[in-house]
Amino acid sequence: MDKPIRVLVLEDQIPDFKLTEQELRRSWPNAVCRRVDCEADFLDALREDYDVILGGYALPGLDAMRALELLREKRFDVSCIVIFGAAAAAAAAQYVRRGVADYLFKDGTGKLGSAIAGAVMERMLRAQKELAEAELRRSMEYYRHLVETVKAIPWELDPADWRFTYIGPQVTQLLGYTVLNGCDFGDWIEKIHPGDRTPVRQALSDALLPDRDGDFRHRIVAADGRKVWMRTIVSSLERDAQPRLLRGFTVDITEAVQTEQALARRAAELARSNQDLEEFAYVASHDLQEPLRMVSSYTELLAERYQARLDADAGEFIGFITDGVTRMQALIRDLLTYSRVTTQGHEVADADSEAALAGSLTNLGAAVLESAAVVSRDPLPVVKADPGQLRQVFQNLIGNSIRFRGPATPAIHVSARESDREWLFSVADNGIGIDPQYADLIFGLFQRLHTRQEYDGTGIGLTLCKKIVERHGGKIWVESQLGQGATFCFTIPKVNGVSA
Amino acid sequence: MNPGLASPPRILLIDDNAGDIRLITEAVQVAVPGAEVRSISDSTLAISGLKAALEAGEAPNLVLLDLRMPKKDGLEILAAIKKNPKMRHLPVVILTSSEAPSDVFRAYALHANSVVTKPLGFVQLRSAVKTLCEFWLGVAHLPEAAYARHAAHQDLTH
Repeated sequence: MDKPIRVLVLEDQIPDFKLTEQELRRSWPNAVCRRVDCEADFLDALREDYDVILGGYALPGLDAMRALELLREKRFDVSCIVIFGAAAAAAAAQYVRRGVADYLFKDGTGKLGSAIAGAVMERMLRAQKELAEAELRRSMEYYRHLVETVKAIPWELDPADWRFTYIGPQVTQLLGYTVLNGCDFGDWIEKIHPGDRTPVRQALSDALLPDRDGDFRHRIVAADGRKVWMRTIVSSLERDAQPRLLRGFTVDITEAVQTEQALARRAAELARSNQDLEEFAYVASHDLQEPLRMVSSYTELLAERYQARLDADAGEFIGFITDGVTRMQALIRDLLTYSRVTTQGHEVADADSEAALAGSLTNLGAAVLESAAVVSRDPLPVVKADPGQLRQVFQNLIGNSIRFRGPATPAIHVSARESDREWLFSVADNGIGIDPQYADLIFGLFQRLHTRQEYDGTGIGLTLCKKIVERHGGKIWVESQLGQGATFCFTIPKVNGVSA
Repeated sequence: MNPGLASPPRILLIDDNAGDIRLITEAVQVAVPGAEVRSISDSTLAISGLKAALEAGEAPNLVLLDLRMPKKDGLEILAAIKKNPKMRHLPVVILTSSEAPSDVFRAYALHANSVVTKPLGFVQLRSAVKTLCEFWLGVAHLPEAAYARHAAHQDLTH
């Protein structure tokens, strides 16, 4: 059931009030009526909500005109119906102008019900309209807030006269310009970097074509002289049978562009430093070998030409010189090879590790034959690797297994195990093994655990393996006990982890 | 022996390193007994020296050229020889300590006739020099006129 209608009656005569109340109850049996007859009571009553105010035309304490004034002053929205004592049409007109909802004459109080119903309806409609307007204002405010608080400059351009119909206030925060709507595009383009003006004009014209939105970058000179990189995303909007409008957002992308530029510079520097390293390695090896060549060549010449005049000691000394030169040359070559793991490495491709293993055994042919080594293998996968470098790793590991063999015939087994993210290869042998305390040391450059009389080699092999495996994003380690063989393990990630 | 060969054969050696000049001279004299070896150690004087020899009617039969030299690089000298119509028929053998593939590539691109890395020992050097001398002084003789025609044709088609 509807809540009862509430009526505030301005009336000093209680019998008249009773009559009015009676009349009201004929239409609204539950109507709540209150009577006031002075300003103070009236204001007090207004603290409650009334649907209608019924006011007398000429009350001594508070006439309807005064009541209307008070309502307007206090901004109360209550419909007012004025009851005139006698035919007083002129006065009624004046009240209507002041905003009363309706008026009655005292002899026509039979119409009170319908007058009140009309007033209530009128108030309801007014309230609805206000509500709708408030909702519209709220919604507009919401979208304006949405558009004008993003860190981008929204704008709208009418290509009919190339004037902006809208530029968001962000243009002031982001660039320091105060640009008024209606600003000419010709003025705005002055702020764009001279080198970008033609491309920007072109991009905007292109965006006007059907289905041709634009997304481009350009530079703008801010009010304080800063050069700002901007990205503009623009769409053209079709209006019914009217020229298209361009609408877009322009965003400050200076930081992103600077990051991109820094990355590009770094990549170029890296490429150059790789080139330098490559060049350096050759020059260094050349410059190191040249004096070495003098030593070895003249030693040979000396030995050849003065053979008859040299004694046994001299022959031994010459032997040490030659040996030293040979070792030095091997070290220089190994350093060159080491430096070329990264500079001369090939692209990572699908590398068949069976083929890599086969290649390494071919290269080790003589050593395998001579030692009668038995090399066995599990099925081996295709992995993401530089095929030549994978072969080199097998070759160095198997070569070591043969070189550091024990008293028994060398037996070497190569296997591979798959996990989620990588392949784990292992090369296991029955050789002399490695004391675990040296398990890390052996991967260091030119680190050797034996004298050259026992085992030859410069100590580059495992260092090369480590560098190659790490270039592929993998790890290499050894599991071994002295006298119990060694198992070298290395991983190759499944996703390309190669670094330049 | 080919008909254009001076007797004894003349060999020009351009190398900045005195130790190398001596070694290579020793090797040539064993490989081609009696050969006349002239050497230029200041590479900036190489082209003028060669021109003077040509004018005096003493053109070398073989040029042995080092690559990495201060002031004027061996490749520049090679280019100058192979661009000069009066010199381009001279066989130029690059003898270098460099193993850089780019050096080998560039030398052949400039029409070097052989590119050889100087071996580490004297015995190897001597056998390399012997092979090179025998080839470029004996087997591979190109008559000057024919070589010039060939080179001119190459220039036209490039």
